[in-house]
Amino acid sequence: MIQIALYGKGGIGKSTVSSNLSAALAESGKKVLQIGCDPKHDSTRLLTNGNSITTVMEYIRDTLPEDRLLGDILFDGYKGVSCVEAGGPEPGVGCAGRGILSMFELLDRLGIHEIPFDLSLYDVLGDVVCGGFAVPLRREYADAVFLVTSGEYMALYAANNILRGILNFDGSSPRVAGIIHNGRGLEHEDERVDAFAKAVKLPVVASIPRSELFAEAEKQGKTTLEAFPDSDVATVFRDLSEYISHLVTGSNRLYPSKPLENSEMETLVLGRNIPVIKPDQISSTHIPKGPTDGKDTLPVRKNLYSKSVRNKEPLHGCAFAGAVTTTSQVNGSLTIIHGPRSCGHIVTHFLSSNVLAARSRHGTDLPCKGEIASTDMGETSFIFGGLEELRNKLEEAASQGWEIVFLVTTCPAGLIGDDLETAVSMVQEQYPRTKIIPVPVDGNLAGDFAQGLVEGWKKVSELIDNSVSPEKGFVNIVAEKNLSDNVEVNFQTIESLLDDIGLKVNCRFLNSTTIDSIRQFKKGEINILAKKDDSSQLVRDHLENCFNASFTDMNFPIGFNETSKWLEELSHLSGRKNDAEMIIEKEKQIYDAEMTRLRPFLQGKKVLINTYSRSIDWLLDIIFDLGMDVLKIGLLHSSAEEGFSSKYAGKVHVEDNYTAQQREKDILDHRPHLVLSNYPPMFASDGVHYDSIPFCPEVGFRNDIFMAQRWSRLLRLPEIEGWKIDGEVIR
Amino acid sequence: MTFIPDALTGSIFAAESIEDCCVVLNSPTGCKFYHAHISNQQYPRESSLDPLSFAEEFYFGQPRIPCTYLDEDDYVAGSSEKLLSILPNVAPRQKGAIVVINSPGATLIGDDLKYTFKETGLEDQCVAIESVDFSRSAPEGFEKTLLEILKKYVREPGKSSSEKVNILGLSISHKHWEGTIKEIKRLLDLMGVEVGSVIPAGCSMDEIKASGQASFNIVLCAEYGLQVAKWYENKFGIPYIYCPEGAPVGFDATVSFLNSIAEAMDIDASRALEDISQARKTAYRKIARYNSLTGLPKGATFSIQADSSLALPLTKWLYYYLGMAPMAVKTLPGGDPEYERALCEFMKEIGFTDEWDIFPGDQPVDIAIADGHTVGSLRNQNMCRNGIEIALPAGEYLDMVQKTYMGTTGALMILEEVLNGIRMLS
Ligand code: SF4
Repeated sequence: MIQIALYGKGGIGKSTVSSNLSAALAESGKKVLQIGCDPKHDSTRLLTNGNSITTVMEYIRDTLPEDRLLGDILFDGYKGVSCVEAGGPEPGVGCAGRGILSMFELLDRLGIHEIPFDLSLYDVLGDVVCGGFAVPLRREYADAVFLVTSGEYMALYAANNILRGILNFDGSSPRVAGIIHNGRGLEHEDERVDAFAKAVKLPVVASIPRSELFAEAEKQGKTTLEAFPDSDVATVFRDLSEYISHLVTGSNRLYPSKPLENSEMETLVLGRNIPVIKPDQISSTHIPKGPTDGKDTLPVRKNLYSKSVRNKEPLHGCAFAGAVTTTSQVNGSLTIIHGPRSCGHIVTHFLSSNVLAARSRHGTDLPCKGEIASTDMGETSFIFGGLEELRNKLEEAASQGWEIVFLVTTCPAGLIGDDLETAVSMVQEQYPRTKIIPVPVDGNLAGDFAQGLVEGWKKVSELIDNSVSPEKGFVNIVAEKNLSDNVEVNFQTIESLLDDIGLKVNCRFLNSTTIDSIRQFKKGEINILAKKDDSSQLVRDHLENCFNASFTDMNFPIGFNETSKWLEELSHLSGRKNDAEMIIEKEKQIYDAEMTRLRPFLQGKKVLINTYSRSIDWLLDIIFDLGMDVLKIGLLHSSAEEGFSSKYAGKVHVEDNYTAQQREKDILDHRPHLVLSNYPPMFASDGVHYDSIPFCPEVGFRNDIFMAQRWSRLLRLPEIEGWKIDGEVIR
Repeated sequence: MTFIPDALTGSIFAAESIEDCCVVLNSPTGCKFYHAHISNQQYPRESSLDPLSFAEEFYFGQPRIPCTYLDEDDYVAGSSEKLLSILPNVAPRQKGAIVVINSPGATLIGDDLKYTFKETGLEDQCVAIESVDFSRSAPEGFEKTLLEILKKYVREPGKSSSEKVNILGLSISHKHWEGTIKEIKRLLDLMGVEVGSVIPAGCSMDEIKASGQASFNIVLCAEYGLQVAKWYENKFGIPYIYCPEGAPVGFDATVSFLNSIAEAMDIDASRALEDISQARKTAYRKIARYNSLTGLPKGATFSIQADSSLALPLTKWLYYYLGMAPMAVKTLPGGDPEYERALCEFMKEIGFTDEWDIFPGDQPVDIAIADGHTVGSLRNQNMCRNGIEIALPAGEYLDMVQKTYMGTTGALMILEEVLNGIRMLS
């Protein structure tokens, strides 16, 4: 069997060409299959007496996968030509290209290849050679490709584009059969087509004259071949059918694809050179090019980009998961995921794992959160767009009385370009008491996980009531690490410290936060960031810019030194300095006593640190207080933080972009007593112990003491535990 | 609440179940991290978890499931370039097949995966899964992908067909899959049946290639193996054994499972059945003492959410053998229609129609049987005294001793958890 694809610009008459060609091939005794790959789905109409047939897309939409049968989409046409129409979504929705992919998959699954066709002919829309419409170009489908074109510039341009598509697939291997010139009767048309053919080194295998007979036959719902079998036009198609027979026998050859550059095309077809205008030559008189006096510059929307997005680094995680992690913290809200179930599974798995770990590792119950639902996008939504399912889901949510509904989009929802605004406004009109807040992050199109957190925070902040005034003694907690199992323990520690100095938490922005508490956000006179990583800084910027929020400079403190300083600073604001001093004094005694006890075990011990975290002063504080030496801090590449800011900068050797190999070398060269890493390595060396640095350490006075106690024990334990010997520990 | 996994996860685990096979996700890292983590948990093959050991491009610090880290540019320009570089990078580390699976987004770009296989000269080593049926059930994705692998690699059996059998329908996503293999092999060994391979949980590519030689295929969990069994039958004429009572969970279904095998293969099951009789005696003695003090476990309540092949035998067994009341019974998507029908009928017959097809969390029960997350959250909310984790996602507990819920050992294990669970204070 030979498989042939006819590509051409929409409206060029390729369906008429295809069906006449199929008719001619069938007349010559061949068993032909014609597949229309144009959403217009009229490729085979002239073979089926002018009737439309059920398209594969309609069939996919209306029939359950297990009930699908080949016979329902394969129709008999003129002289036994088997006809299939792909069809497609309504213009402006869904993804027609995905539809073509689904059609080929379905035909495959239903066993179309078991039918002994002599020839399959794909009639393909060539305006957009995206992945879907390029499927027939794949080797497993088309053995030969014909370009159908008129002499119009856009038709030739499309033909050239198809050649580029073929080149991308095939390189220089020959697969193009030639050009079919479907004449429009334009002036100099033949010359233009010939010139193009010559330039791309292809033969014009058929020139179909413009003829009224086509329209006449069409009126009868027939191919010209059937309606006017003795016409000249019919002869052209019979000749073309003959040409194809010779392709099969090998006496006609195939050609490699040699497309032209766009500029060459323009010179060739339009007969002019079009210069490319560079940005610095822009001469618009209306658009100012840069800041002049600061007044006539166009307002550029300030965006808050995560580290990976602004540096165009590989994205870690997707913005979708980040956004859901944030919106699902709003207690009493519903987050609707517009996407396939797998996206929902992944994100809910993170969130639930965290709840379970908080309970089993810390004994804390994470308070109520918002609920999550999914539109469960599947194959049908991919093709036709998922707006119907989305609208149903939104209506269901609104009719259940949800006050706030967040709508977060995934990659496929973004890629098919579902028009959220329309769906939202329709439901909003019907249910004005439900506020629907779209968070259109489109999977990872908006960026990485951190970017999603930021987008989520920004959207939730739309609930903040700007008219609320700050009240003394109230603070907000901002950007807690919600996927860390100690988030609640840490909050409880902070809340209790704040309570000790007369401050009350107004709003946790965001962790298990009520809608009302978000509205009252501005009641908090001070804001405290939980951590100073990149995404937290971005939400800080946002809250400062949009809500005049004022922040303390210190984030959640870890260890004695940081916590003392933190309490001191905040007690100034609450006017409870004495209370803070008393607490600090009490804790100092405990700290000093423990340092005195532990120093003999740890003094003079050499430490090698390698870490993803950039804020480790709490760790360095205790290391130095114990009289230990830091050999080096190796900073591992982090997608969440950059730079290294430390009060010890200049006093410790810091190495950026640290690698496993460098670590191994440092261990062998320097033989540290203790190697501290976020993930302890399996590399073992005599006299070297390993311990981990938590990504999200516990906050408050005692964590540093806890670490020091642990190290003092660790150094007295075997360097290599027995179990490690059974693995691939490197010595 | 954790959403139930869909066909993407099923598809990934079909390939990741094979010892020397690896999945390459043509996806953003958003789809990768979770699956790589779970694969590594369920079937650890690397000795370390240190991300620095897997710092190369595509791996993102994880030993399993490298990905093309698609971004906006790739969605516009296509992912071929990244595929052309990831495949030669992964291939040398991989003895077996590389199964390239498109993520939901990648499936829309429509890149020609097979073209990249050809360009990299890796056509023989690579399998393309261009589109899994997103939002459809995990078992569907699992079987679809497994069939693609089998179609490509299973060799014609030739003349020397083997006496060994294959076990089908077990994935590394099944709880205690390793212990289950051991137990099923032990029981079959008592019947003189030798297991050639377990397809695909933990098998090698060589075993896959030779799997067409088996004398019989035994289907363990039908939703993960029945279509595959039918494929072997059509392609190589290998008969399959499907037990109408479901997987061998509980004494009764295990007896039925062994009898089905004995009948189909015309062999003697008495030694294996004796094994069960002995276990029943042990169980009797312990339950009798417990029962005479408390009247329990009769009247204790349970709820279950599991694959149909497990839910059917377990519900019936807890009802008949222990006299427990099913307060909520729900099967996971993609269930075997025969089992679902049988379970629905059973619930009707015993007068528990309202308890069929409802989520096990609507009322407190003594024992909740479900995935680790559901069990964990029901426990946290005091909605059960104890839970039995029977599916993924897993809870926090780390199993060191190989366990199973199937066969004789599995039945005793379930009894242990049920009886101790009922004794616990809520
Ligand atoms: S498909 Fe996109 S949105 Fe869904 S999990 Fe993968 S990266 Fe995230």
